[in-house]
Amino acid sequence: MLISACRREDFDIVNLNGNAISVYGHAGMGVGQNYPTNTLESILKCLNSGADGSEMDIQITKDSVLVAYHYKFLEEDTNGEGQIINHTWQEIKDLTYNNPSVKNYKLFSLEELFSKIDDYQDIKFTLDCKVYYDKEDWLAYYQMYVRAIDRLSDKYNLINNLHIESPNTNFLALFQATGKDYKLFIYPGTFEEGIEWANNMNLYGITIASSKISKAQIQEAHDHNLRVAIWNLHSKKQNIEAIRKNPDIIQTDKVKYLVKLLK
Amino acid sequence: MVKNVVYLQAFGIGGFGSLNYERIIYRQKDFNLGARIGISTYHIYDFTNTFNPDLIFPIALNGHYGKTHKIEFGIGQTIVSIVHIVNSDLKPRRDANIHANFTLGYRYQKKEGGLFFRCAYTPMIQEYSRYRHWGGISIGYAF
Repeated sequence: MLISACRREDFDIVNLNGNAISVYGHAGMGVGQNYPTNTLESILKCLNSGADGSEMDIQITKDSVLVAYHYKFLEEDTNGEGQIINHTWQEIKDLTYNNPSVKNYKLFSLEELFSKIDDYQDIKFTLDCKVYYDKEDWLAYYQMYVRAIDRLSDKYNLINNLHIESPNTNFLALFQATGKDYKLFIYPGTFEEGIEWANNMNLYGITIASSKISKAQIQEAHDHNLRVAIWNLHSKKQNIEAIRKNPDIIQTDKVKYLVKLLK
Repeated sequence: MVKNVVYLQAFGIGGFGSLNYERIIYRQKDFNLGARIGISTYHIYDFTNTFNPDLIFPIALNGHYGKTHKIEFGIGQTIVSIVHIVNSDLKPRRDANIHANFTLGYRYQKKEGGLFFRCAYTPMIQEYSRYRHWGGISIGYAF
């Protein structure tokens, strides 16, 4: 079947999401697109392209500001240095991404996004919480991080808009300890590990690379009432193959294509 | 020797790619000086999906020495009119900037014209404050 000839009605979707697949951008418009990932432009372009939501990689500064950024060190992708946790927001707010060279894309805080974005009630945001902290006081760090997300959620009434994603079960447990109905996704190394943790902790779902999960495994997760979000989908072919596995959410690097296919 | 070149440059002083025209304005034996102007863009539509193109104009003076196989060096400005987001209100805003550009590389061009090729190190000083390593490959036609 020609890829370009695929249409929504060609797919027989059966999942826990009302038999529809939610289209989320991967860090906005995705990897390899013409916006740096996790920039405001990329996130908003994704939402303005008709996606149901976007995934974002987030970290926290030492003064408890939530920032969208993927890498462990600022110098990996910006003109800054060190880790975000070792800086205040004031120190890093004017940093710019390395590429492209003639256009300055800046870091942004989640406060900046949610304080200004219009009509987000029907939009979902997956917060992929990067936990780059291996010191002895890791619990205090996790607690600060969870409190910051909890405050943001309360301030902008986001409890039904957020999916919280992490490979760290201690971190996810702190959200459960709030007593609030956070939608928590484990981000495991393998499907087997993910389904074990998700069941043991009564989580909402599993986020995993598409190459690491099969259609049968997604069905197994659904049988345990676990939603499945899959990602690492760079080509049209990969996105079509992903649809056929019946996930609940696809975090795609081909936002416009997938929206056109599924919406 | 022909005086005009039209070429596409991948990467280079136009950002990720540009369409360029160059004309020889001075010649002395095997040394030629050319004036270059190009055009490029990053986005035609901005993040609100409104037609609002980024405009990038690489301009430079390029000197090259040699017969068919030449060494080339250049200096110029990349003038941009770029659409950014304003973090305080999430609206698009257009800003103009100038970046210094340099070229040092290899140029292939026969006196009688035809195929043109360039491979060069093309660093930029972004907004005259940040040195950026970069490079570019050009292919085109001299006439």
